[in-house]
Amino acid sequence: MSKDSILKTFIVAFITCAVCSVFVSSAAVLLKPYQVMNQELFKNKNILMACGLMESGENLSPAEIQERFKKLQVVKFNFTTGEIAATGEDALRYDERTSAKTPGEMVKVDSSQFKPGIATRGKYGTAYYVTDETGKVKTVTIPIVGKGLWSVMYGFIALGGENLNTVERLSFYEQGETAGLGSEIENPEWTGKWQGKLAFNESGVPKIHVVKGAANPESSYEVDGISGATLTCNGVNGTVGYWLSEYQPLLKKLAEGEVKP
Amino acid sequence: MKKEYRDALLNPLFKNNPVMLQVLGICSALAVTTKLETAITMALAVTVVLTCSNVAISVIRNQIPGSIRMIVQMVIIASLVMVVDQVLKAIPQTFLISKQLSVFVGLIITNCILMGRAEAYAMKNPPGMSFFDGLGNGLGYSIVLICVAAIRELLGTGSLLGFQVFGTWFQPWGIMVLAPSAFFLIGFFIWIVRTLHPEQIEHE
Repeated sequence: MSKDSILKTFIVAFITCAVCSVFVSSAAVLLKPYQVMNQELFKNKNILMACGLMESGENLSPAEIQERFKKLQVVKFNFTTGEIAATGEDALRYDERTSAKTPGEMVKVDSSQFKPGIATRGKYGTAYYVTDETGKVKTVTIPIVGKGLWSVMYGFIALGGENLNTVERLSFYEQGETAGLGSEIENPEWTGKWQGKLAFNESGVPKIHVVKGAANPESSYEVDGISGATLTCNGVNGTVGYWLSEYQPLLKKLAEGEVKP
Repeated sequence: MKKEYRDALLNPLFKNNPVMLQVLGICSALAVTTKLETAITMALAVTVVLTCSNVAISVIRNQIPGSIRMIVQMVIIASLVMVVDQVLKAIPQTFLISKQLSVFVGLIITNCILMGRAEAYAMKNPPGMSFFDGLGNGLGYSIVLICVAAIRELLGTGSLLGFQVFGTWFQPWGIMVLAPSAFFLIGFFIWIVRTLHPEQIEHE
């Protein structure tokens, strides 16, 4: 058969595609468990860092990460009813990222007050907290997700202090904003400026926000803007405000020491 | 090692470097060279894909019909790149680096060096020779990438592979972490190589 005949062309095309697709899909299937494990460790590491239980440069083995992770308490919170749905292992198994995309579980985001730029969220939300010796809640870390200028940004905000109203840490662990401008939201020098600011005003409405330019040093609610990244900062404002307002009932519960499901 | 194998392996390192002489694969050389660890991972990925694709294409080179030869090369290269991407995500040590490399691993598919070697070399030479040609060109690309990244990371942040090299007195050169510095550095390399090998200078 000639190498350039039509039949030969089809045969070669078919065989190449078949062999390559088997090769790619078997690699994907075989490597999947390892990728899931890495993704999970990555998530736990981010939670530890967001809760202040791990420094960003620290190199921990998977076992050490799991060990430190045990210091955290987890709750699964029902946004609609305002009740704690589960704690411990049950709460840990819940994944809000999957839930936000699962029909029947997802809930439409109400962006009348704050605009996180996402259409749906999970029915439940998780929160991680640390208690002091007396069992009083010291720090609560809640996951936040919202759209910046180009990408969906994933992060955490940790609250502590009196009535859990003081920001202890803000961190983003996944985002695709403009490198060098919007991506500065991951820069500890900028996120450090959130530390010590107050999250809610007296009536329990989220008030903390990034301003354009420099923040008023008198204000406990304003954070310096990132120059050249106004639209990303607007996204951060919508995201932080939205999730703080959703989690506000839980924060109130935890501050009052009510953590049973 | 036979002389022709050695030539196929060593020529692309300096004398016929794909980045410096043919000026191919520049985009990724700009994008992933702000840090040494991403550059090393990228260099490794390109070398593996290039070597494997060269061998695979060379093995079936007498069966590929002329009318679809580029598509067949592309399918093989794309499959290899996807597998390498999956492997990088599965190894704990490279998981974070592959997150930083983001789309650039996938974009190896569009790296001109791969198509270039497949079309210009693997289609005409036996698998053994193609293997050394792929490896040599991959290493040639790696040398440039790693040199550029080492200089950029050292001068841009004062560290190498994340270890602080310079003390606190060091004032980082901001431009080194921006893309233009990679252009300048590659330009300097081309200048040096062409001064040493004047036959590479293009005449108008």
